[in-house]
Amino acid sequence: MRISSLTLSHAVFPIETREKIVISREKAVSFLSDLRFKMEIENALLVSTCNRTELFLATEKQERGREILEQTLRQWMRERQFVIPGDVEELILEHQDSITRLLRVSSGLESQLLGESEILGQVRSAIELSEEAQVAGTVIRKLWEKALRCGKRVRSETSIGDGALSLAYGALKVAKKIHGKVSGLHYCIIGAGDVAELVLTHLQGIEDARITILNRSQEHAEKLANVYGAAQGTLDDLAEVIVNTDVLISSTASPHPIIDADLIRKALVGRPKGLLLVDLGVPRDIDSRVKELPQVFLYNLDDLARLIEENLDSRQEAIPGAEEIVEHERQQFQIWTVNQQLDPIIRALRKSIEDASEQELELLRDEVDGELHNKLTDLVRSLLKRALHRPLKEFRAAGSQLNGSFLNRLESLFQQESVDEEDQR
Amino acid sequence: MLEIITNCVGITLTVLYGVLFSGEFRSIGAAKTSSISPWTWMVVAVHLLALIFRGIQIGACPVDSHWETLSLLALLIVTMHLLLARFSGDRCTLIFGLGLTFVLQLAGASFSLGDQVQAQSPIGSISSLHAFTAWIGVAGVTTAGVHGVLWLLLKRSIKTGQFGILFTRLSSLESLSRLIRIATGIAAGSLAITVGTSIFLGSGVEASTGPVTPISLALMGLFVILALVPRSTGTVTEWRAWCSVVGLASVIFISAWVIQFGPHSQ
Repeated sequence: MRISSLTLSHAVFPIETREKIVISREKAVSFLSDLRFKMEIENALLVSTCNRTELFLATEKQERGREILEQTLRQWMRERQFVIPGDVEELILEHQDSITRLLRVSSGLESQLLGESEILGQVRSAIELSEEAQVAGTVIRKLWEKALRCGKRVRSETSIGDGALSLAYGALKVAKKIHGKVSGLHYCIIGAGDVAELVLTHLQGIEDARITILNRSQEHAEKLANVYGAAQGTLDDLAEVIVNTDVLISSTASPHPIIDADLIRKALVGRPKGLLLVDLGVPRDIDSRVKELPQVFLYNLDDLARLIEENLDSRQEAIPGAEEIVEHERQQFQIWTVNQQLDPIIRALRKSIEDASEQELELLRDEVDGELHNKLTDLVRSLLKRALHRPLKEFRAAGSQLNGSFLNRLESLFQQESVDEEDQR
Repeated sequence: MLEIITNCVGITLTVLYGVLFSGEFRSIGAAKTSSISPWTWMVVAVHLLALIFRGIQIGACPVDSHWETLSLLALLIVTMHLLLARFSGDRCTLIFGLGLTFVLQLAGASFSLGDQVQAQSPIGSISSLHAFTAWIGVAGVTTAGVHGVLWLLLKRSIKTGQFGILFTRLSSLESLSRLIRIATGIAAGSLAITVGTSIFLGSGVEASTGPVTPISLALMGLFVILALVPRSTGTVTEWRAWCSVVGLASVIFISAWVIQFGPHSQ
């Protein structure tokens, strides 16, 4: 099996394009199901977050995977009306690079905020989409497991996740630049998803922070409000709440902006203080024209990432260590994929030799007594085990250097030998 | 002999302010506390003593020469910045005060003590009070202006997402807003006393035909209004910051005029 991947990330695309590319959960399942039933793909993983949309496929032949990914990208470009800066081929990676890519993504090495931890959760939940669409095959599941393991190891064994470095941290830094403090401010959180919860955990330690959670579904908002001791409401309360808000952080999955310039303009009437709006949604939740209002400071994901980059020094130092772990895990996955191919061959080889020895022992059964025959059987088995141990070990070790057609030939050869011997009998 | 000593003190003070400025510049990033080096206080104390000595010597507020005038203004500006830093707990703008002081000292040192301003020394206690408060007012307007410029630059930096040295160095819009208001209040009070003493002095003001008096009166009116308007980080402070910048521009004009023609040209 060969892995191929399509990478559309913040490294190439600005937020204006990424918000066109991002795929909702429902659409992701439908897309993966199409791969399953229209293209007969059994191994696929789609990681679609605010900063990236990455599709991984495992196919028998590399060309097949590349062809499907090219086709998919062209379809997305047509449907979502975006263009790519270079060639389509540049965004498609082949086997080794694809494996490394997913491992690096889950480790936070490819994140906009180096070492951020949210991506690991996003990769973890990506398999649910594959399962729902019945494309969580053995190979992609193994790669996913390796990615999670790699992400965990990188965070626990290196300092890449150390220090306050998150979007919420960036937002609070800007809030402090405007209001001179973060305590005693009124925070309004729009949305009740994972990102909102992460922001709330950052706000929790702030002294005298008044927090209001607004969400489309009151049930989710209520749950979070109970956990974090916040007030809650629905999006209908937004106009009222925003009047007294100092910092508004929005992270909904809404496909259209939910906050426009008129709403903010009305909220600012008679207001002496500045208002910080932080838009963590992709597609964006806040109309960018809001930025033109004099008292408003609007920040989106890209702005915060630029701000936080200055705190990256300590994390940058952890990159070599993290890359070593990624390389180790990549090799482990490589060994696993080779073993996947070698196992049937080794089984066939063992079986053909064991069958031959059983036949020879069977011929001796009438010539020696039962006890001696049993001893001879044990002796032959023990000899076979010892004789095969080292060559098979070497064979496994050299497996990654053997090409696919040679392995296929070996497998069919031993299977054929077994069949021939059975025919002779 | 006295002239030589005074010139030496002037040059020494210029060098010391240069050293303090570069020290403050080097501490960028570390200057998060309000603690001010004792060396800074010591230099300011020496500066104050030098001017008091000079005042005693001439028997009036020491604004008799270009050197004295610029040196007094430099002392008032640095003192105002130090007091703001001390009492607000925000040292982020001290570097700008030290920088301005250094420039004024440097400009003053280029004049000899003998370079007289084209006016009589303000002999008498009321005249001295008038001259002294006028320069406190000028220092207040300058300080407010400097903070106004910084507030506008920081706001622009935050709004456009430019995370350069101003974003890193300056504390916050809220803090700068507070500092502008304090400086505005000091400027308004000083200018009010200046205008009051000039009314008391009567003839001096009537005799002046230059722009100093009308500009000072306009500035006093403007700064009294600014001092009374409540503080905020919103549009009110934006107006206050812009007005402070206008005040700073006026101060630069008045300073240039006074150096050229004296405080009240006939």
